[in-house]
Amino acid sequence: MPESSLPAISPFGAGLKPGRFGNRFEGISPITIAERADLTLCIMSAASGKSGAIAEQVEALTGLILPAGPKRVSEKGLSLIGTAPGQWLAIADGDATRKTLDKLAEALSGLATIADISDGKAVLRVSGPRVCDALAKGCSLDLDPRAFKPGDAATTPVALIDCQIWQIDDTPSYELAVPSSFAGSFWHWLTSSSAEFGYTVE
Amino acid sequence: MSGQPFRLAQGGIIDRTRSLSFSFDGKTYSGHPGDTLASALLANGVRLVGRSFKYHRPRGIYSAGVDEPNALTEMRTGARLEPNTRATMVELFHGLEASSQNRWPSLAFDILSVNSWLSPFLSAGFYYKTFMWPASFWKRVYEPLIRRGAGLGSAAREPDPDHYEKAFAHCDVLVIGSGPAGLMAALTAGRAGARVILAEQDFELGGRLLSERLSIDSRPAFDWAERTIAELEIMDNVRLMRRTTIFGVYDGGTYGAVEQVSDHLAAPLPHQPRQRSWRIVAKRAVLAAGALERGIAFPNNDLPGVMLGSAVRSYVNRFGTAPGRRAVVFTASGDGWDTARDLAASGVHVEAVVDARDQAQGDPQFRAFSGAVVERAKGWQQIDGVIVRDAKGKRHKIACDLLTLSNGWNPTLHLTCHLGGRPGWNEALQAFVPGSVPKGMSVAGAAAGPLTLAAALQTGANLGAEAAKDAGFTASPPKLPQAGQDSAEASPIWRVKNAKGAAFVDIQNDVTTKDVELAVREGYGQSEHVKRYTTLGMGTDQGKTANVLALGLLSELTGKPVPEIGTTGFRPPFTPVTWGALAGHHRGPEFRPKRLPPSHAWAEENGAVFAEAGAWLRAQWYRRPGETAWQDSVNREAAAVRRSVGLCDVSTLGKIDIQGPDAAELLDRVYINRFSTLKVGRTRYGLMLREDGFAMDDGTTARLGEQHFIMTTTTANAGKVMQHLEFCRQVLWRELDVRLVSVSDHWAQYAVAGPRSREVLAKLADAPFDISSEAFPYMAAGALTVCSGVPARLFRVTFSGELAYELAVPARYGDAVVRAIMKAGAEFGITPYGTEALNVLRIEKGHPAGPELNGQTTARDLGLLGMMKKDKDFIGKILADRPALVEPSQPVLIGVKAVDPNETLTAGSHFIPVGAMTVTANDHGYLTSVAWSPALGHDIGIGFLADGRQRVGERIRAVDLLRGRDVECEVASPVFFDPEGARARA
Repeated sequence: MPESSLPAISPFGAGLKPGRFGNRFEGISPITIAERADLTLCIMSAASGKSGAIAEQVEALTGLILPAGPKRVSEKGLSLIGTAPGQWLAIADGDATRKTLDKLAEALSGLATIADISDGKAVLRVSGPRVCDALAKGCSLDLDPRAFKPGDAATTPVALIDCQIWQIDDTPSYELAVPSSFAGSFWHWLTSSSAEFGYTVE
Repeated sequence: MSGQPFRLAQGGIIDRTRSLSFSFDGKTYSGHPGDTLASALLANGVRLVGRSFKYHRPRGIYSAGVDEPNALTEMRTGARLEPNTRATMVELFHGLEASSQNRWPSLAFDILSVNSWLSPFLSAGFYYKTFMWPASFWKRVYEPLIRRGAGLGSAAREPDPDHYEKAFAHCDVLVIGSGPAGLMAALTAGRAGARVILAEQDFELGGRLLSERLSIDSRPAFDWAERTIAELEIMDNVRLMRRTTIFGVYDGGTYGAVEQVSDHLAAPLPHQPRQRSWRIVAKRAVLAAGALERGIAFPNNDLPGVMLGSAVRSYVNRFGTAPGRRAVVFTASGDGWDTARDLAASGVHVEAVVDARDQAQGDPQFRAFSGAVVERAKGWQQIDGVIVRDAKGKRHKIACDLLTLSNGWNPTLHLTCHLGGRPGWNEALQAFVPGSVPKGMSVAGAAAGPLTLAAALQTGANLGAEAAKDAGFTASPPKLPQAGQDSAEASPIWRVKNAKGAAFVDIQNDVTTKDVELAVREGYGQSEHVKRYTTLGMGTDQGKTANVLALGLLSELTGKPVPEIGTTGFRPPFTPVTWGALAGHHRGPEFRPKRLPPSHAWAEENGAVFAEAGAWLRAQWYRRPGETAWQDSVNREAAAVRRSVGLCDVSTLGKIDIQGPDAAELLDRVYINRFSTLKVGRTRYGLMLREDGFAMDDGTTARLGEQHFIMTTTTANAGKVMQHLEFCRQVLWRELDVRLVSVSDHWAQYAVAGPRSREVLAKLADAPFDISSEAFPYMAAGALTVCSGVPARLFRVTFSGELAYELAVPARYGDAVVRAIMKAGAEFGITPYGTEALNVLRIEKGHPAGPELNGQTTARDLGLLGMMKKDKDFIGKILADRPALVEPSQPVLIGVKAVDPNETLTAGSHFIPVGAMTVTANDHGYLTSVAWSPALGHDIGIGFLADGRQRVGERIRAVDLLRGRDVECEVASPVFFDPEGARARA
């Protein structure tokens, strides 16, 4: 995307201010919230019967094994998340990776279509020892390490908002993607739910 | 502050080193941490705590738990006022304010206690029979009168200042109740490694072990409980949820619970909710909810000072409080003797033990009556004595200030019934026990029937192990601790026969044995009939102490065994749940999540007045200083678009990215018109039908590439159209190679409309994009960059009928671009316009929108038959041709204007011929949209009229019976403004 002199505005708007909020805490932040504004997100949809061919191309180009279910694979800033049969969310983190994504799109021409939805999603990374307790206030998924692990992904309503969630590591850290028009309501819910524990916005 | 005259010198699980001050009916008292409001009141000698529902009789504390029928109080004041709170379930806190209910002017002197004297006339059915006529009195006289007299507490008048939450939890084994069975089940499953949730409604874990002088392994049972709780506390896989009531069982192993997070505090701590409702998903559940003790019906059994024996043991043993100084024990079970012993050990004088059983195992330390009954309790505002009738019929008057009742137990099996299970009658226990239980649930301890501590430990261990095994863990029951002897065998009596006076079956709802007898006499002898006739079991306690007593009594009266009279089923919730807990975060402005377009902040700055459109907030109009009526703003905005140029946010439209070799084919099949012929770089208006032939949605679709389209839908139908297309693609036509992605939120989109719109956009488009009408004609679509490099799409489409464009940019630039457009348009007086002006402009052009695409209109009705391509198949084609839908008399879209230009039209009016009666037979159609047209200077409307096209120029009446309007109109073409469409092509 060519850079313009016009300012890009976060869908979270003025709500997103760095600092510590909610109840006071000592030591490690119970919950840390950070916007992932720098991501390029594309929906990659397979042409009829081309999932196998796509997987080959993806592996050849990136070394990633294309997930066949709700899983996330990631390498050098490029992530692929299974979101539906024959559909993946491709995420590039930073400019260099965006080029990899462009190359991938080129290689998949005829096999898959790519739709840029970078501005259609508002993405947050949430992490910390109490993050699951906060998420439990709106997310019906079982995020216990026995049930949901790094590399797992799901599409689920969170606080009545369509959400895609994937686990990054076992801190635990998760990323949550919601439609950008819902960002304000989602932010309000997440911060209300985290305030009891105390949280940090980065 | 008084000195807690009834507090025992020692014992109990209360913190005597600290005092908590609280008030009841304005008087200040003190208690200790670990007290309930009930135990603290008793410790202070407060016996009279409320007035009864119907007769306003004096009432005291009856139980020590969830089953309390009497001690309902109003907690707190002002916005936090909460009526009908059971004093037995309220954890005492410093500064607690409670007051009694249903009394006036005071608790001790209550005017309506006259009802008690009138009680012979106020029997069951009294209100139905008496307040019959005149019917005009029902609403104005009888109802306010009865409502004032009956009923419980009053609700807060101000909004609740606290917040509430909902949350989800998951586990392998949910254990409900933390008595001996629950602790044992949790311990066994926890040790096996299963994820366990142990939910306890009380603020202390331990259940009956807190209240009984039982022993385990030859030591006080409470020691074992403490050790077990300590072990559970340190297990990572076990979650102990105190103050959490499981109130309902739902499908798929889902349990509803309420956690009273801050009810035990004067106000919630910062950022803490008052209550939290949980949905707990459990692979297995062990119900270990124990049992509730039963009372006995005899005259004046509702006097303050008459209490359940188990409650008395709780007050003495757990709370270190004597509920009286001189006690009589009335029992039909072994429990009564335990009560007598516990009272005696605490220094309460036991005047007598009255055992209804003929051969009771006595205790020589007490004056005992075998085969005897308490014939009546005596007293005015509290009990001061009893009349005992011994086995030979001789009466003994015994003074006392406390009478304890033990009449066997009802297993707390409520949750087993929530999915339709029915309990079964156990003749030996004379109680209902769980019958069919919900899938995944098992019942341990007293909740299953067996009442001994040994049975509780045994079944808890076994079922805890079984539950863990079922959830995939290897579990073995641990070595069982040795339980001391206890026995609660009962031969219950339901009422004392041949006794005179009001003997209460349902204490909360003031239902007496006489009411039940009357119901039987009048033919309402089945349990469900008795319930409705007498209101038995319909109070906030849902008959926890009353139901089985009533069934036993009915059995006696009818001579039928209990199971033939009916069983009592239960529905959620087990105990009352507040609306706040059920709503959680989603109330007020957060009732539903809101969608905001990227221009929202800019719109707010410019005086926008918003309306909800589905989840979206859209600007209706932009109020300028000095504008007072909404119409002033709307007229100004609409006129500005026709005169010069306006800007409208259309980001809320649904946008669907359609790609693939068969993209055009998909569109041909869902739209009535053809898209495969659309050239790349062009846009076309399309209408899609439902399967039944009625119009579903409309919008423009542009061809961005040979295999790439972008479809717009109406704001309201965006989700529905996406679902429809996915259904077509995934189910109906799997042979089509086409992919759909919703990109609604990716693009901010602005309509720039009016004769000067091209000049505005020309200033924004980066070179070398050519926006001239030759290069970019009407219905063109193209990609470009604007504002030095912002990627964009431009569509030359119009809804207003003016020269107009829609400019789409990635949402992150939405805010900046709307400001850039306003800046570029400033020299032309560019005016932001909202959905109301948009509506005016489209009505002037006769363009259908929501009111016309109302689910009852076809392409023909909308005047769009010409668009329909009959040489291809599309969804709705066949059914749109149904004879009734193509009848010439079917109303079609027309315009109307009032004959008198000063008249106002109202949408929803029906068309009635001039001079005809206003009856359905003369109904010729209806008006769907109206507006005052700034361009024409009078009201206009569009709607559907039978044979409408042939009636242009005719007169018709627009009749609105709802608003009392009847306006003579002239039928016109729906296109009022620029019928040739020259302006759009300029």
